[in-house]
Amino acid sequence: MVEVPKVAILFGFGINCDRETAAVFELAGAESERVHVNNFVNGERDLSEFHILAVPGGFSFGDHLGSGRLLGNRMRFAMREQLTQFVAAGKPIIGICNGFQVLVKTGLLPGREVPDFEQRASLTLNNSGRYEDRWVTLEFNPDSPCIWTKGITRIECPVRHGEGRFVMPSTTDLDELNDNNQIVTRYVDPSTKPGQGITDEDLPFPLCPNGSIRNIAGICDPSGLVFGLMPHPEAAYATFLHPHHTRGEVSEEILAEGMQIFRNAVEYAQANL
Amino acid sequence: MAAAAVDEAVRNAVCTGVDLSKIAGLDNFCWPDPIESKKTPDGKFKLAQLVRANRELERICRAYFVPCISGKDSMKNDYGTGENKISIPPTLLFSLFGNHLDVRYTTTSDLKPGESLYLVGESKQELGASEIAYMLSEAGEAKGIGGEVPRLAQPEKNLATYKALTKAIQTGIVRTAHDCSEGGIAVAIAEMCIGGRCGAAIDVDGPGEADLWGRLWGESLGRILVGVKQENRAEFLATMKGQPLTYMGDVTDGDTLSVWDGDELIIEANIEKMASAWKGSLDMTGGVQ
Repeated sequence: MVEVPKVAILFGFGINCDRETAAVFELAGAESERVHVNNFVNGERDLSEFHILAVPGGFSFGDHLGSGRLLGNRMRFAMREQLTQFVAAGKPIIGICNGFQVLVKTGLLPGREVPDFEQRASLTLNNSGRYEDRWVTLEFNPDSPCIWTKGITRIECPVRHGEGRFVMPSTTDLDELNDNNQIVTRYVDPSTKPGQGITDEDLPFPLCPNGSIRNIAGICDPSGLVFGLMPHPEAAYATFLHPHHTRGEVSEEILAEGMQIFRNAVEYAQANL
Repeated sequence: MAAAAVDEAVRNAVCTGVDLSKIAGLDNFCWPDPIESKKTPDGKFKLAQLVRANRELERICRAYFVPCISGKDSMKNDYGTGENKISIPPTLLFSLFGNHLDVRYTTTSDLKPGESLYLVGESKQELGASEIAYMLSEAGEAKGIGGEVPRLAQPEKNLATYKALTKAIQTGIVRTAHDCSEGGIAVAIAEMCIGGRCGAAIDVDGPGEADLWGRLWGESLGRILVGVKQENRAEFLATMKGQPLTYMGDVTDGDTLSVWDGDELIIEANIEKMASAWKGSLDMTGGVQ
């Protein structure tokens, strides 16, 4: 049993949310270490030293050739063995924003039981045609196997991306994803009752900030250990980060709802690794 | 101008609840060539403006305890020669940063439901170089600069007022504060209504020698509009005891801003209309919301 799980936070090549991602894992009771991608690639470090892997947000490789494409390829080809073993060991992986794009392009998401590193989906240009930086409301699928989102119904957090529209080649693919409960989280209308917001109908902009099919904001692999999402839950770690925090009474509670995602993974690692 | 720039920077810090005992400033001068020459026959006048701006900068910074820790000057902001020469207006850009003791106690400019509105500071008859004076002058409806320009005679008094308000903000009894700068009280309250999507009713009739124009549009320094919840009013008044404070009105449940002068309704404006006027010129979405 692991008391303080070790989290590898990837950085380098334009990843820029590594420090805050490291900080929220520490707040959740883990020990974070920022590790440069090349340290894993050239064998100086090995993923097996860690219990959790986080691919943070940012602009890896300047988004050239499409968001997450180059870092995705680097992981797919140069870290294939390590990643396969990491997944086989039942260790959680999260990709946030650019990290989600990377995991999708690596082929770890939506993925297969045994990773085959085939890309099956993509995150492409927002319908608005521009970078969107705004707060959204997310709701979570209670039947999903995702270990990261247990017990979470609804949270608010920001999106900051230009390429966040989740697409797959066919409706059949999406239905399969849905039937496996791999569609973990979706953008919802905040005026709906918590627990009743999820819909397949296209929500209007800006409720769905990018035009994602079925309002998909995040998905997991069949095991529920690999999770990726476009919004930034680490940017909703504290109550005073909410844009409306000054409109209510001063909150005694400092940590906010975004933290639960990271706590879940830490607790999972403590119980299972 | 120099005094006003520093004062507005300090008031913006006050309006977020920043600890005034630890603030620092940056002074950036953007000036026309102030050296007398064939190209610049009015160099002495421009140099005098620079000297006077520096004197005020020093006087106000000392009074507010704001060290200027960095800055920059750009002293040749002129284009062309002879009669075609264009010089920029002498401009001091003043930036300020400070320490916030607890960001949960941050104030913002948007009105919140159920608040009462107070004016901290005093309105004087100071319409000189104001937005309304420029607007009327450009429209050909008035001449000159609009009379007396805003002055900051006793900055140490302002600092005491700011500190009292900061205390009220840091104890959580004030959640709304906005400085009155360009456009005076009328524009400040409109911005607060737009920010909170709240209606409000205020009465600008009050103490001081300023006339209605001065009280509505004047740009006297040292003024901040503050919103206080009903249950915090007594504590707020106790904290602000001895400071210049005028009750202005209340946030309403309606969708309009009403500005009264005693019994006379001067301005009535729909909040959504004001919001779209304010945002309209920035719309680059091509109609996408």
